[in-house]
Amino acid sequence: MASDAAVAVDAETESETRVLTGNEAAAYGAKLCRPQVVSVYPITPQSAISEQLAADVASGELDAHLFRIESEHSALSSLIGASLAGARTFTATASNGLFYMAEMLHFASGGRTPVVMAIANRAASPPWNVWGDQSDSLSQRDAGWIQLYAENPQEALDTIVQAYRIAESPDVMLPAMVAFDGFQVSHISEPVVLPTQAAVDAFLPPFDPEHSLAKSLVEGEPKAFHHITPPEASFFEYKYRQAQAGERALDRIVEVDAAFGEQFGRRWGGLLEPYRVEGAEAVLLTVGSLTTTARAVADEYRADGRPVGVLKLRSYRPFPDAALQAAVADAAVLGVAEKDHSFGLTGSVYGDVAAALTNVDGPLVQNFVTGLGGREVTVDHLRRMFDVLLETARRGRVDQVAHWVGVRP
Amino acid sequence: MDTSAQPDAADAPTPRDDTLFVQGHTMCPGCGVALAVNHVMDVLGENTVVLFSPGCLSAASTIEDNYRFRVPSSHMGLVHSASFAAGVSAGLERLGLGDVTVAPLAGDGATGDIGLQALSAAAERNDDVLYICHDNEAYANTGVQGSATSPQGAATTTTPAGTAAPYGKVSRKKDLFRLVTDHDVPYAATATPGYLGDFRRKLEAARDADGFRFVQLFDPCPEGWKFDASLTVEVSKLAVQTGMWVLAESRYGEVTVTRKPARREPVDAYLALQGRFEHLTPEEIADVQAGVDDYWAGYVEEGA
Amino acid sequence: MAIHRVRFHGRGGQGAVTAAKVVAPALYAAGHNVQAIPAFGVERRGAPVRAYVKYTDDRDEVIPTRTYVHEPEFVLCMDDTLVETDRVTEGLQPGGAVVVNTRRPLDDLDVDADRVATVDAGAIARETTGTNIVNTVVLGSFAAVSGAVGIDHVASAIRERLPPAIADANVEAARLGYERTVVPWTRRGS
Repeated sequence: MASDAAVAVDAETESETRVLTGNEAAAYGAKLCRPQVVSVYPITPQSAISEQLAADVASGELDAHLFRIESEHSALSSLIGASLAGARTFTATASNGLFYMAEMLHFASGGRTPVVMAIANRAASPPWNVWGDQSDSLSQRDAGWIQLYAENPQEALDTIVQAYRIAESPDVMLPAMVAFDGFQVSHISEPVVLPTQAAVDAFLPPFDPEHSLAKSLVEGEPKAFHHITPPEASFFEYKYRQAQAGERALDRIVEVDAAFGEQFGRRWGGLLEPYRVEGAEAVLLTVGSLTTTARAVADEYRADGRPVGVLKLRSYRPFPDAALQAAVADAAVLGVAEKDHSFGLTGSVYGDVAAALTNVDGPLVQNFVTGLGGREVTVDHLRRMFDVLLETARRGRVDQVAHWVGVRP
Repeated sequence: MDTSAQPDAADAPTPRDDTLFVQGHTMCPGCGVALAVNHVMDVLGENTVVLFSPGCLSAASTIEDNYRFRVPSSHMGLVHSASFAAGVSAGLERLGLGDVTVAPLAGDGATGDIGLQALSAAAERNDDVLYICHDNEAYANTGVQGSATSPQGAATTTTPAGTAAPYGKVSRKKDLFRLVTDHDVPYAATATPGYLGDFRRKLEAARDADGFRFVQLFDPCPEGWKFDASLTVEVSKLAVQTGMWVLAESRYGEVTVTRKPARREPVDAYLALQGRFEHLTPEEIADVQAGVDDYWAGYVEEGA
Repeated sequence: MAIHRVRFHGRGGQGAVTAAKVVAPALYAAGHNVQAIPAFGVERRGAPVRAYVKYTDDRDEVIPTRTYVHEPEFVLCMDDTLVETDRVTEGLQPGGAVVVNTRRPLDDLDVDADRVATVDAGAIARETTGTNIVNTVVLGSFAAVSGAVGIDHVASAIRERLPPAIADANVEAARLGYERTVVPWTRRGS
């Protein structure tokens, strides 16, 4: 595929490759999915997504109703309304914006409206910090949204396309977040293969929910949505169905990634992706862009005869209990590296991992809290994590569960 | 295994009459909101989607197994009536149903307090929504707590009259109609069930216009305002006759008063009818009168 | 497999971040895999800003990390007042090269490196774009010093990344940067 152009075109698939930032790639992915109603509100580090979508609508490249919405709470509110009407929707946010719409996160998931939203992960303030860590979306794990984490700009684009197909599956119908590290992915420029519109149209049919306000009007059979359900009415049953849909999403995520791989030639590991985990004594579980550097350090350790591996967690919700248990069954110790903390010294992902491994014979588990507020996680930091894990394996017990790696004393 | 996409999409009730707001709701006897909604639905007709904000109306008429509306509808949250409705409207428009009236029905707290940001923004964007505010001057459903539109001197459960605070609500009623009018929206109006001709004409005008339309309905509340349930229409009329409530409409910021009493009745008769004002001293009543006089002086100056 | 590392130093408002964003597609067009990372600070006018670029020899090679550049092969210093205050030669690889935008003679600057090239980017910027923004000039310098991109690659990347109204002037700025950078050692072959 040698070419002198700054844009390269693959002759066989007709897909272009361009050097894009994560934000640009995400916006492009959203555009390809033909959302019909889009709400944009700026917040660092995703404002470029809002700007790109507005430019696409203004140029006619994207045929959508664009709300220059006045707040993130209204951003999601307007999209829930549009989704209930029967339209496909998109927005993007981070941190404080996500927290501001938190009430509506529960509304979208309980209301079974499959909104898709990009999150450029950003720290929770104060102290005031606009840089990348994963505290925002990880802390919303209980709001009932599918959460998929992308490692790089290409994966961000691809996962947004996949997210629509997963979320809109008739037996799922749950909203989905596609999260990627603020700055470390959103602002990084890399070559990104752009799928063609025709290919995405073939992969993703139009949104066609079984029930919607539009259908209700057209069919002349008025439907009532989200009515009041007192305790002895059906609330508990609706929640059970919602929970079951969340479980079904596990299979759907794997299927859609495989189908995407067949059509576009790229797959991203489904729920989680092991790297040199086979025969590893110590495995480091990572989320997002940290995975890239972790693999490089694992290679270094392996070359040195130290058996370590990396397990990339792609789906945080639904949490892939069974897949995780299988992946790390033979490891002596599993370390969970994450850019957030929940309360006290441990993070959210650690809690879910520990719960998933609690009833099986599996590795010891430790937690590495790192990179908060955009603090760079270096190769040395990752070496330290692997060293801690290997020492734990040697001793056969965990002496200290949580390590804050990179914090200054 | 239930795989239905929207498991809570219930069929609307089989009508016992051919109205769109069907008999059988559990609103309080004499409720001004119920009276108003009968006429709202009659005017808006079938080509409508109504959206409910948490409050008296939804609590008493949108319950699973006792659902009273025969048009497609949905419950919303409290904060966002204007933006949720705008989203519904945009979604329907994208699907070729742009001529459907999308009508959020929201109380005064949802509109003038917590939902004011969304209201102002939707008005500024001229989103295509017919916003109806049921103003019963309190958060009635949750126990008659004070809101932005509770009138000066009213006792509510969060502005009670007590020894240290004998007056009740100290601040004046927030003027939502003027606020929305200042956004130069295509149509805004105030109305009340006591003047049905004016009420229905305004709803028709709102229904037939495009863009952001706002109708604020003064709906007396027997339970909350403490008057006999048989007096709802009288309270509604007296509010207009004393000037406590202005019947007006605006188009793109131009205000017209649609019923100007030749001589405004003193507020005493209006206040005396309602238990929420019984703590007011004659001096304080005079204050209320002065406030009403000031307010009307403003309208006269504007040539309305 | 070789990973080449570049670090830009500038002040907020001088376009260091844009420089990294523009050179990335240029490097890609020239047949390299590339990763460009702005260092994420509060972008106040005048405050020191860094940006990083990594590129491989071959497009098929993977760039295995997502960290900042701590051991650059090339340093592009867009403002000579940063030489002392921003430790521009920190981590410079042995044999690594530094380009400094300066009007001063090389001997006046105290750059702790064996290979130092200079360019009066400010003058070129004013001559071509009529502004003091030197980033595209410095990209021309990078092309000259590294041999990793041709000036045509830089030109096409400028046209892709900058608004049409200013593209021509910036292409010219880059060209002059390429031609006028004083490189007092033998350049590597392209």
